Amino acid sequence: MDELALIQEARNGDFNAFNRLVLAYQDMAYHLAMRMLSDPDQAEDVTQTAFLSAYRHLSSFRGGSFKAWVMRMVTNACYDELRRRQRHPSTPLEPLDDDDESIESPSWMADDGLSPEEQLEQKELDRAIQRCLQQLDEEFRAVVIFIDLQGMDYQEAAEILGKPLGTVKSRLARARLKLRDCLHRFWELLPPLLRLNTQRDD
Amino acid sequence: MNGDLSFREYERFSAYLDGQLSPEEVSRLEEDLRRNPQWRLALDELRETRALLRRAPRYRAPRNFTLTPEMVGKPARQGFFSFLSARLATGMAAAALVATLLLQFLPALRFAAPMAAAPAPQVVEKAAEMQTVPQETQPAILAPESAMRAAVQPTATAPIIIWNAPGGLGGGSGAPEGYGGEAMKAAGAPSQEGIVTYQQETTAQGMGGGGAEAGASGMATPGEGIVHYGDQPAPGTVPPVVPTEAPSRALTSEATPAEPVEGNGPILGVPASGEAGQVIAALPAPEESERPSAAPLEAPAPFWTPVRVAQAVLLGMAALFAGMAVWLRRKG
Repeated sequence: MDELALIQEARNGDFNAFNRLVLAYQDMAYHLAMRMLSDPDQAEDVTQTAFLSAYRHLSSFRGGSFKAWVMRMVTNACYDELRRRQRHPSTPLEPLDDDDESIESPSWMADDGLSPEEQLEQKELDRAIQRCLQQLDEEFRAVVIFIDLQGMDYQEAAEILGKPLGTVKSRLARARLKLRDCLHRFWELLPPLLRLNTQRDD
Repeated sequence: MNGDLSFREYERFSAYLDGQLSPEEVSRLEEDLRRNPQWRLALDELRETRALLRRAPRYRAPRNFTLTPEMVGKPARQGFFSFLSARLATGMAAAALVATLLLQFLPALRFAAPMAAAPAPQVVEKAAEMQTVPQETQPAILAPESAMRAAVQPTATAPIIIWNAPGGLGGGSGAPEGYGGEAMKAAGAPSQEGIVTYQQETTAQGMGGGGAEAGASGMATPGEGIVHYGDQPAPGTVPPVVPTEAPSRALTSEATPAEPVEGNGPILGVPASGEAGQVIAALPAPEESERPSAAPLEAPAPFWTPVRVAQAVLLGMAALFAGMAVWLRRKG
């Protein structure tokens, strides 16, 4: 897929050309929004808003990585949503059932080809990570999502966040330290295969 | 165990795990790990944490987020306009509130002007007229009703009536024990606004009755509303709560004392039994045609003046816009 050609066609009014770009990045965008917001509905809204905003501001794209450019829009939309949530704190952080327990099998978590045991492990791990991520400041959270959860490199994350490489490196290390401490609290909840094997002195 | 590790070391570990260190930095770090075996535990913890995070499941989009012509066709500025409308409503509410306060506190915009300053020059004029009245004509002329009203009105306070003031406040020009006379005139008695003194007994200690000077002194400060009743039959029939009536009689007493009043007529209450129904005022009661001069003061001002109506409208607008602003912000 020639991104630059699609972008050019989209700028010339080819609506479908932009939608091909959307299809290419929507999973990544939704994953970022879901990890940042921990709310499926808000993640959907933010993802849709970000793509719409990207289409309308396509003229401001000056070349380079379209992926970084569009993910930056998603990130900023997530920041906006988090600030709005702080002003109106009424939304639960994760989907809950009537008993205020996390929904066991939310429809938005779909991993094909996993055995029931593996699915259980995935759910437990996802729950632990999601809770620990929510305890991080949003800037630290974004860095660790890009690099550890989405597998980007430092340079790409720095480009998306518009921060120097050293800042990304430092934030990532701090985020990992906090997540290490947080995940240790979920030690007993994690499946044995996923438990941290290192013995801690504390 | 790992408490001696600084954040700098953890930062090196983190970059090391991601392959972000240069070959020289990697050699140095591995040398440090060999010399400090306890560091390896911290590195392993960080490695496992990183591995755990990378095993986290990825979310897939629950639907396609492709755009439709309808979505793009909608004005992108809808949110902007919503934001702008909220700002505009807030600004309008603030402006309406400020306008309301301005109407309230800017005297130039108020219609309640008759309260204060206007009568003041009139008072001076009346006072001047009173001072030019010859002594022998004073009993006949006395103080016109309007003059006393003018003298009392500016103070905007009801005169204080003192009956049988001990020692007398006014005193004749030669009264040794009185406050009044020349001293009163000189001092101007600025702090005794609205004092009306009735003196029942005609003695050397009484007030007023000191001739032209005293009469003039009584009126020299008309704006202060001091009226002396000295050597004057007590106006027992004076209605107790008519401040504009009493001073008119008071002025008559400044000139020539009449016969002293015997009895114990009350000041503001029921007259003595012997004096009940007896007319003792020097002036005949003002005719009905004269009374309207006090009417503007007594007539209650209408509550819904144009300014108040405007204020009410502005307040309503402020509340409306404030409600709109809150609603728009919540909606946005």
